[in-house]
Formats: sequence, C-alpha cells, structure tokens
Amino acid sequence: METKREVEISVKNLSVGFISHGNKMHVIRDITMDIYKGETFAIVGESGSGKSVFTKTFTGMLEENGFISSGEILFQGQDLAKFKTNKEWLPIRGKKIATIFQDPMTSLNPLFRIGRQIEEVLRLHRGMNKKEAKAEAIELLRRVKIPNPEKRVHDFPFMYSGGMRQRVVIAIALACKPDVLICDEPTTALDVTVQSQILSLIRDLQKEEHFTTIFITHDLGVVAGIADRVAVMYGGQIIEYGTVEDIYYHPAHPYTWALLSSLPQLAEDGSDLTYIHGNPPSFIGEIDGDAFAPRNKYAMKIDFIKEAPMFKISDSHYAKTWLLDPRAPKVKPPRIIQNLSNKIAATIVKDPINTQNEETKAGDSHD
Amino acid sequence: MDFTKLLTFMAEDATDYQTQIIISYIVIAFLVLAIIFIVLVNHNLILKKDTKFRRFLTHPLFYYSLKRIGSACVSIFLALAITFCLIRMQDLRSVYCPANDHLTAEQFERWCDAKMRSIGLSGSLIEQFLTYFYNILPIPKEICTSINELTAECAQTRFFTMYLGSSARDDTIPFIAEAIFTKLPNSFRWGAIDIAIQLIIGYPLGIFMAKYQDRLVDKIGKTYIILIDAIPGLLYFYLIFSFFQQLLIWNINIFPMRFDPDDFSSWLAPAITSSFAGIAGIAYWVRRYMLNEINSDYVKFARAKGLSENRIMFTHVLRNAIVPLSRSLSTAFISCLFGSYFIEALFSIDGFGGMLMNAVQTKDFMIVQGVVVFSAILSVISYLIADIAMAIADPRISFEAQ
Amino acid sequence: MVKDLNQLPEMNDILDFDESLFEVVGISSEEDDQITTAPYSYWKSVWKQLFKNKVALLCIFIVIVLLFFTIFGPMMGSSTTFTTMPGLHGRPISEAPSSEHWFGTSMVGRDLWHDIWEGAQFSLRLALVVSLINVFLGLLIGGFWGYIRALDPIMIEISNVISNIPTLLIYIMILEVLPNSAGNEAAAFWNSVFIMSLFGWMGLASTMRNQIIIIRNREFNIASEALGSRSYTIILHNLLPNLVSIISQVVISYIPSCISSEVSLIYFGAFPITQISLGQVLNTAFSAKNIASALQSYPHTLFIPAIVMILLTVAFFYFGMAVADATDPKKHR
Repeated sequence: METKREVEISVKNLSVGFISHGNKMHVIRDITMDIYKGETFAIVGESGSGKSVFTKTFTGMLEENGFISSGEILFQGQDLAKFKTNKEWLPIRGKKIATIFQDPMTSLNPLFRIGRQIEEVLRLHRGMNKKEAKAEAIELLRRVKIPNPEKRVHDFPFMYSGGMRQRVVIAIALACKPDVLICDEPTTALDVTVQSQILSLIRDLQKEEHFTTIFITHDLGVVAGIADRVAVMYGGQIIEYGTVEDIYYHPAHPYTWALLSSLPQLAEDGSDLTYIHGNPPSFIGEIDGDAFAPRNKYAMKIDFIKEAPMFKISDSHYAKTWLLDPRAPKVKPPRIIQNLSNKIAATIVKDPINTQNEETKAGDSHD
Repeated sequence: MDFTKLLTFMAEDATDYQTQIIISYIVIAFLVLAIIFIVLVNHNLILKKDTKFRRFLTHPLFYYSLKRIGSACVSIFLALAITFCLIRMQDLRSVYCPANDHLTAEQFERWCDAKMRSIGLSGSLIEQFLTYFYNILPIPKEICTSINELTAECAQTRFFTMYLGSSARDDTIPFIAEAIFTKLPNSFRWGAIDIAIQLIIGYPLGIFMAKYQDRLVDKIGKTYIILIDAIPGLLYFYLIFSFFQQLLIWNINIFPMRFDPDDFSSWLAPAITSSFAGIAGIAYWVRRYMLNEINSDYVKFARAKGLSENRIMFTHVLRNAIVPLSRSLSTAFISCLFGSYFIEALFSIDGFGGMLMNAVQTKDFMIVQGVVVFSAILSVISYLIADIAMAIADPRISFEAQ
Repeated sequence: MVKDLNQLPEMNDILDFDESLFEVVGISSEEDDQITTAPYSYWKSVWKQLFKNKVALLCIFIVIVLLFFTIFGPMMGSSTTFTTMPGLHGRPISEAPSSEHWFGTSMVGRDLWHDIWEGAQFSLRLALVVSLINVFLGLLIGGFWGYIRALDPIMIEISNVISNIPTLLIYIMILEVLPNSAGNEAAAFWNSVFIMSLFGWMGLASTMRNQIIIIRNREFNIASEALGSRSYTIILHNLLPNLVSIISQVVISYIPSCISSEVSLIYFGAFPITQISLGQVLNTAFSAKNIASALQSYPHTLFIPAIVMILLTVAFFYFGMAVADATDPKKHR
C-alpha cells in the first residue's frame, strides 16, 4: 500500500554541512526519503542527530553557517535545495509548509495582540482585508479550542498559558491551510497533561484538513500515539524507517533497539534504567563505517570499516545495519523490547479528550 | 504659562502673600495626605472593597512610579546635601562681598554679615542647611534682596515661592530662578533641533546596521561610532566648528555662526555639531537591541510564517527593540533643555549651559547650586516620563502583578 | 528510492567482504564517553583572533609609533626657539612646518613638535596612572558590589546621587578645596590624578556588578553553588573567565577617555597643571577667537595636534575593542 501513495516531499541524497570554529561538519549525510501526502511522519533521534536540521532545509531556515552541500528536495515540482534567496522561500514558508517550534512561550511576539499575529498571516498569504482577517482569526482560535475567542483575540500572549499559546501557534501555522506542517518538538516544553491535548488537537485538525505532518521528537512514547511512519535518525542519517508497527514491534537496527530499551516506561521494578553508552558522534571529519558502531553492543568488525547499505526488510520497512546481511550472525534484540506490543498498549497516550476541558478552564485563569 | 512668575514671584504684595501661604500649605497638606492614603490603600489597610477607584490607586504602575519618585527624591536630597557641603567649603565671603571703597572696614563687615545672612550663608552649617531647604521648598516666603550699605538693614524684600538663591556677579538677572528661565528657551531652541536630528538619523542608522549586519552599512556605522566614542568630544566639536568656519571663508552662508534667538537658521549649526555624538549613541543601542531580538524565537517563528525580512525587522523586531529605548526619551528631554557647556560656549549662545559655565569660571557658586536643584527637579519629572513611556511601549509592565 | 542490494554499484565489493568481519565485537570501550571535538585552547584562540584582525594590528603599530615619539620626540632636533614677527617688538607669530620647526610653530610662537610630544608624554602618563587607579578601584568595588547582595542598594543609591550632580562642578569645587599646587609640578600632577579618579571607577564598577549578577544567575553557576563550590572557586573559575572580555575593553578604553576628560577639564580652566599637555596644546590651538584666522593663515596649528590626538585615542580605543573581541570565547569560531 505504501508505494502507491502520492509523494509530498521527496528528499534525494541530501547532505548538509555546517561551518563552526573553522571546521566543516557534515550534519546531514546523504539522506534519501519520501514523505507521503497526508501521513504523519515522525523523525526520532537523540539531540544532535540532525533531525531538526533535516526539516529546517524544507523551509530554508538553516542557521547562517549551514548550507546544503548536495542533494535535492522535491516539493510540488520545485527543488527546494536550489533555493538561494529569501524571496524564493516566501511563497513556501508559512503558506505551503508551516512550522511550529518547541517553545510556545517565546514563539509569539510578546508585544503584539494575538489577533494581530494571526491576521498578519491571513492578510499576507490569503489576501484578506482587515475585517475578514479578524473574523477568520476568531474562527481559527475557536478551531484550536480557545474558549471565548471573540474576547481573547485582543489579548497579549503573556496573558495566555503555555498550552494556550501553543494552540495559538498552531492556529497561526494552519491559518494558510498549508500542505505540510512541521512540528519541531511541539510538546517538549509543555506539561504532560497539556502535551496529550496538543497532540490530539494536531491529530484532529489533520483529519479535517488532510495536511502532511512531519513530527520531530525524541520521545518515542509520543511517536507511538500519533505517527503513521517513523524514521530513526542517528549521526545525520536515517538508519531505520518503517510504519509504527515495523519500528515498535520488529525493530531491526541496534540503535532502534537501544532507543526502545531506554524507554523508562519499559523499565522493570528493581532493575536499572537502560541507557545508551557514549555520546553521539562528532561531525568533524569523516566517519568511518557505521556512526553508531562505537556505542553498539552488537557491533561487528565490518561496522568500523564500511557503512551498511539500506537493507529492505519489507515493503515499508528498511534498516541500515550489517546485521541484516545474510552472513551476519543471528542476533536477538534485547529481552526488554520483545513483546513490546503488550507493553506499549499499556503506556501509550491515554484518550486525551477527557482531559481537554479541564485544561481550557485552567488556561483561562492561568497567568 | 509664565513659569518664571509661577516659581519666583507669586505674590505681588503682603496681603496677596498671606493668601498664597495659606493656599500653598493646604496644597502641601493635601499632597501629603494623598500619598499616605495611597500607601495605606496599597498595603490593604483601608478601602478594602474592590472598586474602580481602588483599582486605579493600586495599579502597579501607579504605585511603582510613586516609589521611584520617592527614592529619586532621596537621592536628590543626598546630592543636594553633598553640593551644599562642597559649596560651603569655598570662600563665599569674598565672592558675595566685593571690596567697596565707600565703606569703612567696620561698615563693610556689618554690611557683609547682613548680606550673608539674607542669602542664608551665615550661622552654623546645620542652620544654613535648614534655611537652604526651606528656601527651595515651594512655600511662599519673603526674602531680603538688597541691603542698605550704610545701615546694614534690609532695604528691599521680595516674595518667592521657591527661592533658589541669587547671583553674586550677574546684576542684570540677580535671581537664579529668573536667570534659569530666561536662559532655558535659548538652550531649548537648538536643543530640540539637536534631538530631532539625532532621532531622525540615529534610528534608521541603527536599524539598517542591524538589518545588514557585517555588511557595508554596518561597517561604516561601526567606524563612525568608534570614532565618536574614542575622540574627545571637545575635539570633534572643534573640528565641526572649524568646518562651519571654513564654509564661511568659502562664502557659503547657509549656517550663520552667530546664535540669534529669532533666526531659525542660526540654531542649526550648534544643533548639528552637537548631534554627532547623540546619533552614534542612538544607532549603537538601536542596533544592539535589534540584534538581541533578531535571535529570539518569535523572529524565527515569524520567518516560518513566511513574513519578509523587511516586515520582520520593521514591525516585529523594531517594536520590541523600542521598549528599552523608550526610557531614553526622558534623558533626551533633559539634555534638550540643558544644552551643552561646550556648544554654547563655542557658538556664544546665551543659554543654560553657558550660564553654568560662566558661573563656574567666575566662582558664582550659588548659581551652581541653583542649577543642581533645578536639574534635580527635572530629573524627577524625567523619571515620570520614562515610566509612562515604558508603560505605553510594553503592555506587560502595566499588566504585571495584576 | 528503494535501495535494492543488487542495484548499488558498491554492492559488488560488499559481497566480497570476508565473513570473519561479521563477528560481533560489541562496544569499543575506549571510545565510550568521550567528547571528540577539535582541540581548543583559550589563549591560542585569543591570539589567533587578534592576529586575524588587521585593523587591530595597525592600531598596535600606531600606538607603538606614537609611544616612540612620545618618549624620544622631545630629544629630537626640531628647534625650540620661539618664532617672532620681525620688527614688531618680537611679537610671536606662527610659522608653517619647516626643516627647523618640524611641525611648525603655534600661535604663540612655540615649537609644535616639542609641545605635542612633551604634552603627549604628560597626558599619557596621567592617563596611565589614572587608568590604573580606576581599574583597581573599579574591579575591587565592582566585585564587592556584585558579590555582596546587601551592598547593592547602598551602592545604587551612591551612583544615583553622583549621577544627579554634574561631576564637572564637583571637580571644580574640589579643586578649590585642595591644597594650592601652583608652581609645584608633582602636587599638580597628583591633584589631577585625584580628581580624575574620584568617580572614574564608577563605570567599570557598575559594569562589573551587572555582569557578576548576570553570570551569578546563570545555570552553570547556580549548579556550581548548589554543589558547594567555595567562594574563591566561584570567583576564580565561574566569574572571572566570563568577565575578561568586558574588563579588558573597559580597561584599555580608559586611556582615551582619560585623555578626553583632560581636554575638557583644561578647557574649563579647571585643571591645576602648569605643564604643557596634549589637552592644552589642543585648547590653545582651537581657542574660539582664533579658529577663523587660523583656518585662513596657519591651518597646521589646528590639524597637526588634532591628527595626533585622533590617532592616539582611536588606536587605543580600537585596540581595546579588538582585545575584548578576541578574549570573548563566544566569538572563537
């Protein structure tokens, strides 16, 4: 079923470099990936794996010392990797590909009223006049479930709580009916209870609007609740990708095993929490072989010599590890992540609808 | 409104003076009671019911301003005390009693004693201090302004609301308050233009420097700021002044060098000369605050929203950068009134700065003291302006703690 | 996008790999928990940064040249004889630069070469002493001010009070009170030092205070305090390295600012010195009455002192900024 779906963003052999302290670093190393229309595509990985940088290339928002060194990003017939000037980006950013960031507390301009910040986008991208924009802004606030939107549209961001602000940010991002919504760790800065409400809000809106969501997170628990497909990133590469079921129930890459085993929800009473030894690779200079090899419990000699190719496991599931080579010894994943299906069912995001009303009430009186 | 009259001679004669005294005491008592009332309300001791009136009185900004003015008054009081002590250390007798050949030594002594007493310079230090503060408080008072040289008795008295002292040297405008108000308009004339030039050039320069960081505009701007910062102020005043002179030598007569209160074009040369430093200061801070804002998350989000860089800079970033700058408005207001010693001396402007300069050089210390008092009053006003400006610029301030 | 094993060109040699390579070796412990970034040395980076800045190097060069002339200039052969107008009872007159008077002579007929370098000698000596005192006081007082919380309100009050009095007036009034130093060069020098360092430390002290408070509230310092670091560790390891950049800029810029205030004080006639100084040379050259005639007949009396002054102050100031930049670890990239 996967191969027949329409592709929204197609990334081919993308490499991104940074210049820091006079050194050239390769932060994204040769990623090839298709993202399908209407799906929720999650990218997981630890900090420094390059997951944020990867999606920043879709909107041309790399830091000033970063640059795309090779590859292409095909989106609606255009190669985004070739874009140079801001002018080229303006019709894409916000209008076609919207982004929401980690920290809702600082994403909004503190000195402009909420209404104005939404209207700004509507007037710019959808050519509305002041009156229409205002009516639409109120409507958008209602859709992201801000209570009493007619009144609150005149408020300043500091009068809102964190969860409410993230709702406003989502309202702004969706104001222009974008085709792609990039969520860069949108719930990391929020309380756990608020987190699930924001996630379900995104999911509900996606059902109505049918946009593609790219979800960046380091939280595998969040991914299980929201994503259709998952890509695991390590050292600037996608090392395994597949459907949620593929990744959770049949993980193939040792790094995915390690990530899953370090989920604190899986820890058993009395035993230590599992963690991954060592640090993510530094991007200075070339990496020989597999980037994860030095930290890999199952590393083989070849991992230090040669990078593994993408092995196909099923139509939807691919992994970049030598363990899949027919010559490799048969290694079993750690015991803790076997039978994940049962365990995950017990821990994954509970139904958020019930908690929602409570938060909106709390948000009203908050701050 | 005639400020001079308001501050110096409110009463014309003795009966008028009586009523003035009563009125001013009532006003002062009312003010004191009002402040006590506000403090009590804010500490939740009285008027506990939530009404509009109470909300106004307990408005954080309102109370905050009050506190700030209170603490400003304390530091001004201390500043005055220090100036007072420094001045009493000078040899004031020689300044206020110039040698007089008509008088015998004994007569001279008597006359001088009487004169010193009339201007509050006799008696113990504490006595002088109290007289001094009584004189500058806005309570109507009768001051002896002239002493009969032979009998050493008061020959003439005058009524003052606030008595800042009298000049020892300048007989044309003997009373300092009067002197200040005759000189200020001149300083204000060129000072206002100076501030206008600073704002009109400084702000755009700072904005463009931030927008094109590390590009040509920024580099030129930075060089300019460094030069202004490094070179002694007086030297570039001299150089710009020389440039204007050179223009005259070349018969280019756009900028008349002689200051004339009625001729607008003659206000330009001093204003331009003085604005160089201010432009650099404003550009530096605007650039800096803008760059601070540029790296913030809301700018990133604005970019992700698809806003153009110009729009981000000129609406979002500038709006935020103005908040810390709004405070400097009051400083601008003050410096615009005060003028600069150097500029006024260079362009021979009969203004405030020039007066101060003259007073210092002729050791007319009472004028110095009067100027300190006056600038202290203005600085309290400027605190108020700054607070109001901040509250307008940043809605969070008036909202906080509510 | 599907990468089939056989489609990839390098797959052929992959198939040639020896089977023995597929042996599990596990975590290579020697590389575990290591941070592998390029080696970084603070002082090396400082030097690298400084030498990369061509303008700063030029400024150092200018400073060295000016210092050389300041020390040896007065001994060089420019004539010290006064220039006078022939016939008119020896009234002094200015002369253009010549082989006899290298910088020409001033309006009062003095040799400018000697005046400028002797003046610079005095001004720099004064600026150096005043800067040292101000830096010392500024660091000391600022350190206490920032570090001892109880001191904060008092010090803020003091700085408010000082900012409410025009400092120039204080200088002048204090000079009136100080013992008369007429004719006594050393006393005059130290009187000048005294009034210039009376409030000069204020700027550095409040910068120190602000920075200390900012750094003190940063997470790394809070963590360090929570872990029980001693006061001296906190000052030495947490505060000082972060202050080097700001302090070095303020310290070096003290020299031009001292020269600057000397110029103003001399203009006011509020300076006790009788010796020639750079400020004096400048103020004599630019006395308002003379500017128009000087521009027409002997512009060198204006521009030579002005250029020397500009070179001196700008070179010092820029060098200070370059050092501040170079010592700021955030800019080492």
